[in-house]
Amino acid sequence: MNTFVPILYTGVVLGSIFAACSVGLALLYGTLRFLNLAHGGFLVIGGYVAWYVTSKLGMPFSVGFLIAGVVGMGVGLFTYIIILRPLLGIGSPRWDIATIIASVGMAIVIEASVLEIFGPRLKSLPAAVDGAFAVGFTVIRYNALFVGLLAIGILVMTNWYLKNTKNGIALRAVASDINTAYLMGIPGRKIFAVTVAISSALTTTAGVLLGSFYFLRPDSGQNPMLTAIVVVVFGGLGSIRGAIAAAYIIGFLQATVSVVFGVKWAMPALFAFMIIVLIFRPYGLYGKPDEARI
Amino acid sequence: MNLLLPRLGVAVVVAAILVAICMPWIVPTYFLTTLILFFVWAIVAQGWNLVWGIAGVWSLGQMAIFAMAGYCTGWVVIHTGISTVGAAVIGVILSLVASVVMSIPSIRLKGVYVILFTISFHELFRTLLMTDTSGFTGGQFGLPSYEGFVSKEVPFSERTRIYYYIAFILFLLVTGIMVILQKSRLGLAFRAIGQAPLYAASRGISLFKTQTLAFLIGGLFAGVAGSFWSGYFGTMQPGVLSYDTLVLIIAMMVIGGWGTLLGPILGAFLLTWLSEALHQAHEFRMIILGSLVVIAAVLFPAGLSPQIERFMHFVSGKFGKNNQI
Repeated sequence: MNTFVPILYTGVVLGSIFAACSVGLALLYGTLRFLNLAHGGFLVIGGYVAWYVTSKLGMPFSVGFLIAGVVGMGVGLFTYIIILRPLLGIGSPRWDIATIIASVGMAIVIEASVLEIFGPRLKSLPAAVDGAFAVGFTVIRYNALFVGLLAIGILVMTNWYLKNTKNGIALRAVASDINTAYLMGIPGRKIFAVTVAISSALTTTAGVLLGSFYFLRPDSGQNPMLTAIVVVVFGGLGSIRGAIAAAYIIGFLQATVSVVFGVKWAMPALFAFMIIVLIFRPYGLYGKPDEARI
Repeated sequence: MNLLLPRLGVAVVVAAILVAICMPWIVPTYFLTTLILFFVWAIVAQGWNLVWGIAGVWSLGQMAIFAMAGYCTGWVVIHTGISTVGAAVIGVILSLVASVVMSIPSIRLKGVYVILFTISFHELFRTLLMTDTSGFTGGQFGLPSYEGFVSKEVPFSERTRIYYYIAFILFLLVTGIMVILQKSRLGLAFRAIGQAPLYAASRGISLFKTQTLAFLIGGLFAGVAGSFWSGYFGTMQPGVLSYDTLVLIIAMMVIGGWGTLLGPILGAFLLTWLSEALHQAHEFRMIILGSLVVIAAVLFPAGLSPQIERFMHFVSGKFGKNNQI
């Protein structure tokens, strides 16, 4: 009981947050073959926008959450116009390298700009819901449960959007085979732009959720980004369902390691886990090699 | 018609080497320290370029190898009685072992999965290093200062001059190896597995052997640079594993040009200078560097060195043929 309840509680909450953080990344890679290494920067932008709106302007949490989403769409469209559109159609291996490198550059610019605008001091978002109750020795905060539920809500909505709306179906068509999708009359570029905007909005709102748990710093997006990459790889790059399953598995793994061995070992365990997964399943849990996709 | 171009190139190279040899008597010591940094980064970038740009394995593990060699050198000097040069050799050997350990799982992986594998290798090493409280690596403060290659009793300007020549010779050796490799069978094999792995394999090039060799040579360069770095500063800090350093060196290769001989040298030269010059601008330094990486990746996906080659062709009267890349 003394270890079981904290592991269960931490695992569920971490899993939900990881899932929320990873969906944007999985969506971008699945549709555009764009491994966005500025993902951590997007998370940080969301957190700081929400911090500014709630702490400086005194608005409620929900307004900060929505504004962070809108700003995220803007950032996504900007990324699309600056990086992705000029590079469209340069062919597969060069596209992969060029976009990854450009996103690394963008990550640096975002981190340095956030440092310049908001300064290096730690910031924390106010909790969305106050209060807590105890189960045995474990204090369970309502905020954690609320954030977990919100993350699950976002995931369900994303899933619904991908399955049932016209745009979502077009997006999945582009993801599975872009050339055939073009032939079926799907406007590829428009779908690309919409995808980038949506996944960035998902990422910045996930950043808000993250900010109500951990302190905000200009570089506080790095560890969540690395975790998100592990989640997305583990689930098979580009598979959203795989990413969600992987997020909860990794959430429970980190919770177990943190509770049993100490928080210090959570990140090393994560990377060791990733190395082992890649050695035995070179394409992740649900992923398939490119040859098999054709 | 084609005779002028190689002669022009040889003339430029000879002139550059002569200027580099005379440099310690011309410029102030501060300038020399910047040049030493340039040589070190050029060696690292050249090794990385071999693995990523030429052999086409998207490895981000080079800085981890660099740091391992450096830490090993420092650790051996501090904890055993071995001289710094002997310790540096042990550091280089460790870097070779580390590159083999990294290369074997990478062979089964493709494309971005190699990036993910090597970045987790890098991060695993970094987090273990930073959170170490047993005193083995000194945690986030790095190793305590120790006696470098040249005794601290030698005056600073004299010491810098010696280090400058060591770095210059290492740089020449690495560049020489790359020049020989480019013309050799092995160099062609690297290029082949980078551009068309399936075709290369079907023409009898062993992917396993060639890729492991690419990792070994790339790791050797990173290890040599790391051991020199550690012995030059007489200490080792985890800062070399930071995201910023990683980006700086990637930027060198992107701006200089992947897969070319000149690219990493050119990129290292430009960015070492820029990075030092921008130190006054503190925060804006990273913004400018990051923007440059974005601009270079989007506008010149092949880097600057093809542009320079085109210019050289233009100078030698062979204009308009850009079939080099």
